[in-house]
Amino acid sequence: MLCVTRQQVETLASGIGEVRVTRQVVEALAAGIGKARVTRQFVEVLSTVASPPIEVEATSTLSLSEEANREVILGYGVTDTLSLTEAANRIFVVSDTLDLSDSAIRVIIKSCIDTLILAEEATLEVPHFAVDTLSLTEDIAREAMEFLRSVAEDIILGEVIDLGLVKICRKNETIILSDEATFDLIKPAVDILVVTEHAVVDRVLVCIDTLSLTEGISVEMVWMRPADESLSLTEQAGVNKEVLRDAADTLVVTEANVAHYCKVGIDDISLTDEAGFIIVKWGADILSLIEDAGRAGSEYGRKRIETLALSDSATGVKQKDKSASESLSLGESATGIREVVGSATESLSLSEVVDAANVRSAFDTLTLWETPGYTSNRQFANDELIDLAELAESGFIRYRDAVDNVALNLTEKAYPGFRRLSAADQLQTVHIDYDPITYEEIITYEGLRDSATYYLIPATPRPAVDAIFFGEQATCIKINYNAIPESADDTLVMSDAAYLVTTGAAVDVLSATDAAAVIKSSLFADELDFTEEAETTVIRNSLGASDTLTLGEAVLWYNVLEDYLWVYHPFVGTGPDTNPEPPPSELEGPIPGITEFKLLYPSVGPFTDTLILRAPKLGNRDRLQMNRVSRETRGGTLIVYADPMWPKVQTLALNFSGLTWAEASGLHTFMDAHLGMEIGMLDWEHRFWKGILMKLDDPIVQDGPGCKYSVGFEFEGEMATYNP
Amino acid sequence: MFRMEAPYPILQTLTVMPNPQFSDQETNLNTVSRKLAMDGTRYTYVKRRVRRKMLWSFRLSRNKALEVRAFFMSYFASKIRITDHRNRVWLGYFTSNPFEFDTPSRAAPAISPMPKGETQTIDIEFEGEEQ
Repeated sequence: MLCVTRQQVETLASGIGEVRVTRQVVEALAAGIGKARVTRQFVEVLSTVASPPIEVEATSTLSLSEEANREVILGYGVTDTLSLTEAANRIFVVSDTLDLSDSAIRVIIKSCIDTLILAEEATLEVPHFAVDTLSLTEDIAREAMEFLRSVAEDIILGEVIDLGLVKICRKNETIILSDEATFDLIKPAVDILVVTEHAVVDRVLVCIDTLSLTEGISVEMVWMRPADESLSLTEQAGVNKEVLRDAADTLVVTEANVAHYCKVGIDDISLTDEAGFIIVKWGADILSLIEDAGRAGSEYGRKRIETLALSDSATGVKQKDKSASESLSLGESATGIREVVGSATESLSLSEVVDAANVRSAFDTLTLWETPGYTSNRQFANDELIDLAELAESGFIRYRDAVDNVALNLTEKAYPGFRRLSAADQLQTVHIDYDPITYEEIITYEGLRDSATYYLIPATPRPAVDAIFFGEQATCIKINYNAIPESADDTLVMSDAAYLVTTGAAVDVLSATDAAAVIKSSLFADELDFTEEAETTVIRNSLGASDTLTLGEAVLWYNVLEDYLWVYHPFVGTGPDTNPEPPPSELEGPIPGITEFKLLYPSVGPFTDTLILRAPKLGNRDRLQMNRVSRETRGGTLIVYADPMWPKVQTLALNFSGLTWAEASGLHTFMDAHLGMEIGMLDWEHRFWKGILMKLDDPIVQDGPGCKYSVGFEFEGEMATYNP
Repeated sequence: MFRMEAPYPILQTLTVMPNPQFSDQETNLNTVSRKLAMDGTRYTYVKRRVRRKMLWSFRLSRNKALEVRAFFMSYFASKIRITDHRNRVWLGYFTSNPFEFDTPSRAAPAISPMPKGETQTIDIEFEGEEQ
């Protein structure tokens, strides 16, 4: 049995500027029946030096605020489905139902009959091409709208809504602004829609339109559509947008806002401020932004370019030049392929470290252990951070069994850390026996088993303590007398310990431990001599004289005495420990009315011979004869000894009278037939006894004419359960 | 009332018995050995024993006899405390061997729930010291 446990605690980085990277590894390398325990505790303070400082930014940059403006560009030719949840960038449903909630800014472009429901404070733009219905509930962007396109349309705006609405209605249209909203509606050609209060919307339909919002919001929109369109801008949403359909379009979003795109053809969208998107779509796509997609991860489904990685290095699909806060959203991309290229500040952010920890953790479980060939590309702007990453990887212990003959693919550069090797030699003989009942093989090992374990902590570039541990455990499973000579030596040989050439710059510790334990042995095995020191060859290079080499050896064994020592406890009449068993609390009394007396053979049924007599005469005796020793001391004290195992003889002396000759002679016949054999006796009180007939010399006496035969015998036995 | 308790001193079991039959015996176990010198001088060697040897004979119902029988089975070699019919307390051992229960006659009409049955007699030999 070999039990290997491992405990590892790592704190890779903490603080800003002062970085302490601590690692503690505690390993119980082996502990089993063999009583061999190799314990290693390894504590490393990897870095406490603030210079060069590890640039780690605070976690404040970790999150994009929920209010982050989102831009979504979407071009749909026909049917698209976009579902947005939470605070993500929301966009687009064509011929679908779009539910927008929360405070997102929405742009919805529809081509067909759609239903758009915006809840709460959303801001939205909805261009329609056909008969659509747009309902804005509550104070959505302080707006409530309904669109009815193609023919008569009604637009109902409520409250203080800044609204730019451009519509092209073929005929009758109705626009109702309930509150303070101001509208200009120009159609069907170049139109200018001016919302006087907060927003100014200029829009040109059919051709190039310009929509401008007067306040802090400016909207430019170039829209060329074959049919009706509408644009609604709400409040603070400043959007410059160009949509070019069926051709190349250019959309410029001037502020740090959200842009939504709906394109049919090749578009170029540039965001001038902090956010930049280029999204090209060709046809019907499915764009789904999940969760914090705007800052964390996104998935784009397209006909052409189907994969859009949110990471910066997602070349060709999406390029995102993010601020620090944006680059913090790395956790989502823990799916393996990930490249993070950022500025120094970005890459050195604490989030990167955290993320690295996550990645490292993934490596621990998925890559380093299961996939030795794991490679990871990371580019950090700071070497220190690379060190951290390396540390993250170094926290793992690779265990390979040398028996497997699998080479350890650990490179020091990629995976500095611990390595452990173990080799096992079994000097055993195997006997295969067969169970005569089940015909199964029973494999019995006899001999010695020798195992050598090897632990390696290669030196790392860091000034730290390098420790080299050698452990060997020799476990004797079963030793027979002829296995001793060949196995003893092998057990004590430490495998060539020249495993390591340690060039650590600091303290090197080489500890060799040899333990031999006999699990089960015969008497001969107890004589195994393990006093010979394990021959250990230690090669140390580049170590000074101050190195310490400690070799320890211990021999443990068990003497199994159970089979050879019988502990005898004499029973003495007094004393609390030898109290006799008290009589039972309840006794079964006699059952009256039984007149028959049976002698049965055998004592355990079914009975083959039965003799029935009448009940014995009064005067029967029940005799208890116990063995005990009574001694009187010189002082006159009476001491009585008895042992519970000493026999207690119970004898029944019985005499029968009034028997017929057949009964009397039958008793003799029964005695003759079962002389000395254990018989059963069911007495007149219906108690069953098992025992033997004694005192067989009682004569049969005829006391008078008729049934006046009398006879007697003694029965020695004990009461038992009547089980006919 | 005759009480037998065992084992002493950690008493576990008490058996209450009727008073013993007449003809009970109490024997002094002291011994004296007389020696005469050639000149006729008499020398006596005395061995004093505090113990007494008691012999009681009990007539029991069958059920009580079974109870006493079980008592013997358990404590035949244990130290017994007996409170005799004179309310004297004795500590000692049974010396009867064997214990023999005789069944001389039938019992009187039963007292419910006692069954009708037999009477038994048992002679108990006991050596002990009076407390």
